[in-house]
Amino acid sequence: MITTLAGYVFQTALQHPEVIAVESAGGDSITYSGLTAAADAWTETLTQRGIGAGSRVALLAPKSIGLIAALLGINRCGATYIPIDPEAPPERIRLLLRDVDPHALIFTPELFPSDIPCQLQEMGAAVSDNLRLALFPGEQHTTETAFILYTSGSTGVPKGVMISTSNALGFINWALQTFSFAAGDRFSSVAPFHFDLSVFDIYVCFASGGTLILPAENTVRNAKAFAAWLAETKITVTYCTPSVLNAMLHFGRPEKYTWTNLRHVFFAGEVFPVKPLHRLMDLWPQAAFHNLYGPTETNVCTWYSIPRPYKQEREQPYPIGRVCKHLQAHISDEGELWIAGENVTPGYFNRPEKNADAFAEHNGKLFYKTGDCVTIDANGNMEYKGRMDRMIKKRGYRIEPGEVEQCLLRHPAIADAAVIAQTDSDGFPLLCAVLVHSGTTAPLLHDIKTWCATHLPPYMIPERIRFLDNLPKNSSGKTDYPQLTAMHL
Amino acid sequence: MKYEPFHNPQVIKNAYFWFMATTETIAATVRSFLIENLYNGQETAELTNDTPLISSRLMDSIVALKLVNYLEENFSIEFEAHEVDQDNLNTIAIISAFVQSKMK
Repeated sequence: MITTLAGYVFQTALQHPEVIAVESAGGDSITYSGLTAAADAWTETLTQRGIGAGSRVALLAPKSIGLIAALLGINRCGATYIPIDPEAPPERIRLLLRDVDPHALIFTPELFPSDIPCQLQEMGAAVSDNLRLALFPGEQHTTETAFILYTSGSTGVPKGVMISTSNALGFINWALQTFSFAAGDRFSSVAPFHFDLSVFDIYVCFASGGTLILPAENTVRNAKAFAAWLAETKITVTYCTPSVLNAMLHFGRPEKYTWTNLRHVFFAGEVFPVKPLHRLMDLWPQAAFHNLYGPTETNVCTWYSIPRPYKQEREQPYPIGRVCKHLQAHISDEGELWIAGENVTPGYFNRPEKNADAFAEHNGKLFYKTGDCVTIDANGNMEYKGRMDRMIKKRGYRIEPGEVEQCLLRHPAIADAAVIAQTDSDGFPLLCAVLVHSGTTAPLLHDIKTWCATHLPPYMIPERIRFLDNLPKNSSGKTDYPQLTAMHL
Repeated sequence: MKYEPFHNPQVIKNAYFWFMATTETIAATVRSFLIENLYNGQETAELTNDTPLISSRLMDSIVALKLVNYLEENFSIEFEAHEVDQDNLNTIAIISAFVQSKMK
């Protein structure tokens, strides 16, 4: 029986040692036996330096075969790994590293904020040549969990969601039992590793004996490169956000390619507007499409396979479906979806006060309150109706508007700020910042965007900036968001 | 009804650009796209031919893809995947020169 995440790789390596486990964009690849050896080299390197159960190891590097070996090596020595967004600006990377307070950091030199004091390690050639290891000696507290994924926090600071081994195994085993994957399947690695979709890519692939295909940097955001990569690498199983698929559909010239390999298309992270989804189903008639739903705190907790043939006249987005069979769902009196069971996070890293708000007891069980409103349709499927709070789901990322507002309010020329969701012509969300400037003239758009880019990751930079003389306020003097949302901006 | 391509304003516009496009007219087309998509249609002195678009984060990846699509349709050119890049898209001047080089 598999009891660790790395265990899947070692099990597959016993059965199919010469099967390719990972292919990278540069044409490099590694077999399952090669990957276990590379992971073992990391485990040995880390163990020799006192890293083990209870330790936290942060990862700050672009995707590579070496990085996958490193995270498996960390998992194998019992430590917790924390992937840090390599595209985050240096200030945010520092903020995250302060919050993680890691025992060790595995990184590529160009991403490392050089002002952080640490002990750089000399390593043998057995571990990857482009990755470095640094230790942070001291009396850090310990953490017993498999990995931590950071998401946006409402008060301006991101928060880490702890994912235990049993959380991750619960999800992976559900995916293996629910869908048919096999050796020979080629899984795309579209999502970055700090994003929960990557848990599926990496571990479901390795557990099935498939091959994980890594894209080159910048492929995913370049729709043309993405379409070419997806077709030419003969991917059979892909898991993306609707925005990535929609951009490929509109701008990637997908009709240039033959698409006979794709078998399963999974999407999650935001609502997929029906029209582009149907066009994609026409483009890939041989593929099964599945809508997976769930916050990082529960990973996937409900799912819905889109029926074929689809109904042309449908305008409403498809439901998020039924709760996964190993989990329990409860809909509160307010219509909020609560989830209990194996997948549910033990809580936020170092944020006991957040845990108190995020969980509730019902019928003697501890439920995670998703903050999402749902209703049940005539067929017993859940439909997503929106948020209980102001959180925005964009390109699969959760964005707390408060975090963006805090950043904008620190700009010297901005007196007041509100961030709301709007939709583009296809129905996808975008961020609109409504600002009041403090001087006589409004700051330049490019000044505001550069400011945001210095402090926030790219997906949190508002696409639209609008200026008002004053923000509408309610009777208690707070920003009146419903009124702001109703305004034609 | 017989199809009269030259009664179609879009065809005339495309033909016009095909024969007449100079770096200036390309720049004006790019500029009008950016004013519409970044500045809500409001003219601004902030946007010059040399204002950095990508390195300043003025233009995100989705707007860049929309721009590429717009240029392809207006100037009957096609960007290769590797050409959708900051090196070819960072300012109006760079974009215009690149589009013109594709039209030759």
